Amino acid sequence: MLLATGALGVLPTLAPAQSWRLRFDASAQRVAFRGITPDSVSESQVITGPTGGPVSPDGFAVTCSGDGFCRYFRAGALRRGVPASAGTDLTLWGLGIAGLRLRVHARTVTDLTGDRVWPGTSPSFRLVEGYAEYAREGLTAKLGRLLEQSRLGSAGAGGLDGIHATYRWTAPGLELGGYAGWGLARGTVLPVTSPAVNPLAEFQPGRRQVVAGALAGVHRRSLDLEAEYRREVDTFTDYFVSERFAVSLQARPVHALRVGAGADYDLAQGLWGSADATIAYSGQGVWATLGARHYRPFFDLWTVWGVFSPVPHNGISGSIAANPLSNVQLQARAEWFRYEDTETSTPTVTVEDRGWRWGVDAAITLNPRWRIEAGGHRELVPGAASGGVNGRVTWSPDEALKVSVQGGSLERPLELRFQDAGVNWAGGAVDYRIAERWSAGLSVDRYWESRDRPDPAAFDWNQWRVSARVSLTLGSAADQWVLPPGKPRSPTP
Amino acid sequence: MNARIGPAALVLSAVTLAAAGGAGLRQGPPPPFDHPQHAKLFVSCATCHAGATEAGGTMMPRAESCVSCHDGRVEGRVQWGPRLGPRASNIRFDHRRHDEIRRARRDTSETCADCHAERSAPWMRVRGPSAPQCLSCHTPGRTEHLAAPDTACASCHLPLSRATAVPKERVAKFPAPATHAATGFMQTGGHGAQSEPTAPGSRVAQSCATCHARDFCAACHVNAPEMATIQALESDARSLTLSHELKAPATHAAKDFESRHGAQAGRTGASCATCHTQESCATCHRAAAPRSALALSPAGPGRGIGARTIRKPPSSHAPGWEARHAPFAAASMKNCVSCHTRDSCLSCHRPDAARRGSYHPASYLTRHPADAYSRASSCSDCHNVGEFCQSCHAQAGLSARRTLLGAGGYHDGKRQFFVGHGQAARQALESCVSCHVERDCLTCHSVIRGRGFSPHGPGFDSERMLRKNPQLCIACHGTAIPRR
Repeated sequence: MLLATGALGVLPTLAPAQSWRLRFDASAQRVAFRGITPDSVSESQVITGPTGGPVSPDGFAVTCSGDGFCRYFRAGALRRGVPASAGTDLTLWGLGIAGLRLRVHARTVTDLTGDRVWPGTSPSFRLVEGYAEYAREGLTAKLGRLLEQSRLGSAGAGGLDGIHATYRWTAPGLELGGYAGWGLARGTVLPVTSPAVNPLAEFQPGRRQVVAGALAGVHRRSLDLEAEYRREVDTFTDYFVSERFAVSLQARPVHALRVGAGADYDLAQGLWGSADATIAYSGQGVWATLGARHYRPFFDLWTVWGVFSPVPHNGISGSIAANPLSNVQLQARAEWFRYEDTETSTPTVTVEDRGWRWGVDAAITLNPRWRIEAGGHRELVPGAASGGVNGRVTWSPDEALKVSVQGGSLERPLELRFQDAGVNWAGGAVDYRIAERWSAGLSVDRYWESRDRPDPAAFDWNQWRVSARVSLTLGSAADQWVLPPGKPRSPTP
Repeated sequence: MNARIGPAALVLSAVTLAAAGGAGLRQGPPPPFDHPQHAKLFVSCATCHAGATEAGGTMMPRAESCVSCHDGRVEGRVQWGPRLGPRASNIRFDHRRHDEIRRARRDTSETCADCHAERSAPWMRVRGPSAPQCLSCHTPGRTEHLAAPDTACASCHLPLSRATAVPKERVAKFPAPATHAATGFMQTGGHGAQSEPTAPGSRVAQSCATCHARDFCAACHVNAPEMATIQALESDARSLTLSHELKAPATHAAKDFESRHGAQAGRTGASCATCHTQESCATCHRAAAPRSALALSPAGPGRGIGARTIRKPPSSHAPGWEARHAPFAAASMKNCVSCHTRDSCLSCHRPDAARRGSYHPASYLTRHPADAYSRASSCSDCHNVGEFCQSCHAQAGLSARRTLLGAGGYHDGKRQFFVGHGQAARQALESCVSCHVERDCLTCHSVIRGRGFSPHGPGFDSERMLRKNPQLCIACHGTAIPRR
């Protein structure tokens, strides 16, 4: 919040030659969740329950491990949090050097209850991105806090504090580039040394890894091909944290048909990582995709998890969407997959090794003001299953206001824990564009959630969930805003 | 309409109309002089219109001269007066100049009736001159008014901007030449080429200036300030009454126009500059303007609004696209950044803890185990396992904070799960590590600190692992790392 306020104060003093764009937003929500609390009783206190299993004197099903104690889980306390955040996204250009641009995207986040029970609320200040970019002719160079968005970027280290440069030859459509710097932890803007990424107090590297990579791409009218090599090295031990190679392809062989495919190879472990291929058809009111996916988890080498040999699963998926009428939109999707052989011998325990999921959605726009959406899904996968329905009715009296009510029901049994979770919810939301660059939103939902099992460990955690946000965009240039409506005919004075 | 209000409104409307009509009768122009009615009184045009041929004479008689007859006794009084101000016409004609030329030619055959009356019409049955009569002298051999050559227009017509007395209603009814309906007139080489000046010293075709002014051109041509022919025209808002519907070129209707328009625009965007400003491009290209877009003019005073572009997703962005965009985005992020800013990506890929999720549906907190166990999508693309999964699970009591024995009994859906967890662990190890830490597993799987149960399975390459990071080996085997 202070950052945003400060930025708002400083901006008017910027040199008049500069152009800038600032988006400020603030959000807060009230959430609650409830877990479990481990407990134990002496093995001598355990009695036989009504179904023949061991239970505690107060009826909890227990598991005895032979050390004189039997353990079970009571319902945990209802934990409430009010995470709140304020963010600024500032871009400056027109700095006297053609092609130079500065960008800062920072965020402050906290939990107003002070308990920080909600994930992602510590540390309070986060620099999401902050870099200087110079783009001239075919060259683009960035220096600062960067987030990579590539096949290895979003799925791999994801970001770095360093430099990224690419050069593109337009005529042949060839692009070469590279990057180097100190890496960030996967899926976050924090370094791997941050306490926030190690809540369980496990082993953690003492230094940030050095990351370097090379990129090559071919971009033609009907073909995009990119290859990336990336290595990360622990600067304390000089050993690899990861070394991977990836290739991505997008082809448009004929109009309305698009093929996307990619794969990555883990050079450090000598294994193919994840790979996928999708054929997408975009016709007149009909969209369809058919895809195949090979998914293998990836772990950095500073953890031991990689040597536990996680196996990949292979699946096929498809989706179709259609507008049978101009105001009706239907879509359906499905996926089936199966894990590769785990080469484990566990005669006492067997778990599912394949799964499937499907979902359907429908949307009807009754008129420009009213829209009804409904959907359902079902998935049965190793470890868990879920199925449910949901619906929403939206009323938009004008372009500035949108009011919606929604609700649904969900069942979620688990395979590895004796518990059936279910939740019903209903609520409403209002989105209002106060002015062209001001918008605000508020939503209130009521959740009725239960964790059912035939002993006292069953519990409910009903809650109200409230969420609010406001967003303001400021800037010096008109080219970033929603444009006034054009006039196809000459106006009459 | 409300039954009570309806009659009253009708009466009020009728009164208003009547009042307006009465006012119009009182304030309208006097009726024109009825020449045939006075045919027996006048024998010469010059009696009233001496100024047509004589220097110092007036073109119109004085109103007092009517009173000599229309005094209320001999004839009834009339409301008539000579026209005041400029003539409401764009005709450029000087009677005395024409008379001088006639005299110079010693031409005695021409009379007023040659232009102001039909052949063999009775005396004083006058009318205005017709264009063919003018053209018969000024463009011999071509008497089609609107087909006259460019240079001929200015012979008889004032530019619109100087014909200030012509009301906009008449401007709106100016006839369009046949050329304007010709195929290609609106395209390159059409009206633009025809607007080039043909007369010496002129900067724009006189035929254009006759009916049009700069405002009309600028309504479509957003690059009007840079076009010399348009700038050569004067400004006149009446020209906007000549309406023209701006239609997109045929190229814009092509199915693949969306993907090809960048190449068609080229580096300079010259072909786009007529109708589009930078704002047209910025409607979609919000993250980074293409070079051709930057070559266009920004919107501003003196420019028309031009063509309107509507931001809409490309045809590939089918419903549910957000769940399937990954392979396409990975191969061609540059296509994405044509329209999307970094915010678009980061709103999901680096979620805000305080914002209600938009990617995941409502109730996803309850639903997420089914997706997470099998990684319906790659969770770690957006969430850090430690910061997000482990911290939340720890708050909910779903973490093995001590040892596996201390947390025993959680997986009570399967009897003896502890001794038979291998398959589940290798299938969903990412889910395991959202609650378990390495020491939980090394209790049994470590050689030096546990019971030495090997965790290595399919695909494990010990030699490669040893080369890449021997620390992993040392963690369980100590320095006595077994070699294959």
